[in-house]
Amino acid sequence: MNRLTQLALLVGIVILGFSPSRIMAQDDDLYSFNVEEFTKKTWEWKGEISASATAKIFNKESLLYSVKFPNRDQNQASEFNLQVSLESRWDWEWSRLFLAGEANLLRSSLEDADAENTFLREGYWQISQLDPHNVEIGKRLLRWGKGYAFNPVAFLERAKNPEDPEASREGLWIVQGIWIPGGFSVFDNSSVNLVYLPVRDDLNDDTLTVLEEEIFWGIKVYALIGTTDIDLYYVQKSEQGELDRGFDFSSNITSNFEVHGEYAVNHTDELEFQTTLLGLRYLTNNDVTWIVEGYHDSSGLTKDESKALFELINSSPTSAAKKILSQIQQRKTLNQNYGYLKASVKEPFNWLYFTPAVAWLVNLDDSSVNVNTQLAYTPVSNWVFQTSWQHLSGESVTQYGENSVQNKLEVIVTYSF
Amino acid sequence: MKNLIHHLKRRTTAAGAMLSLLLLPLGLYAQQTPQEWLVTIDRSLNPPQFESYRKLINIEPDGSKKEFVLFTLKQDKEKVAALFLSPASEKGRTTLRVGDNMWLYIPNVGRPLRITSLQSVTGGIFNNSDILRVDYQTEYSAQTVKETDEKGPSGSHLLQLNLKAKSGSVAYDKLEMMIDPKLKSPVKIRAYTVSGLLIKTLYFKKVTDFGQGIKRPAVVETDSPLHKGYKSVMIFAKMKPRKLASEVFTTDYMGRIETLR
Repeated sequence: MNRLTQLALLVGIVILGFSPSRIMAQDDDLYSFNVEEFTKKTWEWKGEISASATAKIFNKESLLYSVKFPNRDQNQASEFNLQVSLESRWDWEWSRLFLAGEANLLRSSLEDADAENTFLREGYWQISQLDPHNVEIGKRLLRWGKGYAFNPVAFLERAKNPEDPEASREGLWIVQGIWIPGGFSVFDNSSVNLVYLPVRDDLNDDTLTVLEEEIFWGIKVYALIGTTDIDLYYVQKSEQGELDRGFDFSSNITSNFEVHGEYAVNHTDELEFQTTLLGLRYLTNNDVTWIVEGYHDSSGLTKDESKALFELINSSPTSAAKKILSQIQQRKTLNQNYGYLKASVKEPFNWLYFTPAVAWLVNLDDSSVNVNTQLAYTPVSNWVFQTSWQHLSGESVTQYGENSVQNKLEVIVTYSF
Repeated sequence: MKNLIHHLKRRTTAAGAMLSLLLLPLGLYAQQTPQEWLVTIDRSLNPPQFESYRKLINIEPDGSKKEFVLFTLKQDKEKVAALFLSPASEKGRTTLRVGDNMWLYIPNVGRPLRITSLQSVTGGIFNNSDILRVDYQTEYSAQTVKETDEKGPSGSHLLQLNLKAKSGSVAYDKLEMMIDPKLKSPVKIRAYTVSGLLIKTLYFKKVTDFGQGIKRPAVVETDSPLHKGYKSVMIFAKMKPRKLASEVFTTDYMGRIETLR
């Protein structure tokens, strides 16, 4: 789908969507409940508009800074971003259509950094006749795995960014069949997903690094055993004759303590890489939620290899250095071992509607650190005010120590409608 | 003589039957065991399988409110799914409970995440186990029942049913359920921790006939000595029996619960 069509689709949804009936009246009577307002309609939609202002302070000592700004004339940059996202659903009983799109406008104090883009995040058609089983065709984000910051088993989707794990991601064009055995199953809860993902010119070719033409077949088998969710994954690449396998689990040890993990084996040519994740979530009595995760990827660089890569940037001519920089920036993780820790507190010290959180992302190979401190305030329904401060630090020739941005301050206002 | 004996026997039997009928209401309360009362309350609060709409209101000490609207489905004793319909920022979020397992599905963020009974997807005094309430008999054993001096909405003396959690994974260790025996409905439930600390009190109000044999309180309010001045309210509407396939209560179906409205 080209950009013009996507933009037209998005604008269409906005124009058709604004109707007076969506503006809800406030109930004066505490117990009144106009339930008819919430009965199902053939067409329903929702949207979100968010405006953010960002200040970036550069690390002028960084190798990447000197590649990005050869004249070394920038100390900081400010950006303004406007994002509109819309989701729409049509339900004709026999089938359903889902569309979710996003439009972004970026204005920056840096030259040539302004940008505008619109894209279809997800758009798929679902056949309801087979309900509760299901067949879906279109652009879909599969969301495989149990991890919060990392997902080793997410073989058929765009990688999650551990710096911002909750950011929305664009789906891939697939055909998916879901079979839920229900009463026939020996497990409390189970399902089987079969996925067909073709790679062609202009179709899924920007994400999965494979041959020009490829067909991925994926299968996911899920079962709930007691209080443990278990998934098994198997992905076959038809043209290359390669396969990826993996499993994940998630279990509640107690009512406030959950453990999860993922393991994936990726086969590339004659090599084999293992990726592992282990994590936990813990809710304390005073409403602090802790998320801790450890991640290992054997295909990542060792400390010496990444050091050599940074030194290569330093010694390469600008064009070659920019190419290496681009490769580094495309990777969500550079080295083999990472640790993630996030603590969020619900309304501490009786600060109503405030949720402060701190997330530490640590490159365990080079000991560089990426800390993100957030404060979210939700005084009224549908409004979220957020501020965040991201600080990256580390020795020279380390991942976060060499990042061109050292500090990032951001204020975001989001309104849902 | 034989006829006289037969006649007397018949009259005695009839009088006995009459007396039994007269004493039946009293006998019912007296004869029901604590466990039988628990089953009666569960069935009085909702049919085994149903759908309903709920409005949840969190009220802060300054009077400000936050409202949520949920569409709820329940099957058997321990399967519940709830879909957020409002506010717009929460629309599409789905929670599922199967026994001790609870998941939250956020359409944009990702796949179903495990959540715990002590957390609250809406904030406020109601926690996840209150919002995704399964039958009380699934989580609690009824221990004792006794009549109190307090009178209920029907004018009858309230019964106090004491419940104890079956396992440590249950949100409250002990419940004191005050029952109006005539309405067969709880009027008030006090929830305690293992150490005997009162966590919250639930008040059941506005007994309403929803039709198809469902007559239950349409409003549940709660407050907590741990959060003085705060109050949460749950209002039920359009509760009706509904049979569903067991496949609906699976994590893979969470994204499609909204199609069942």
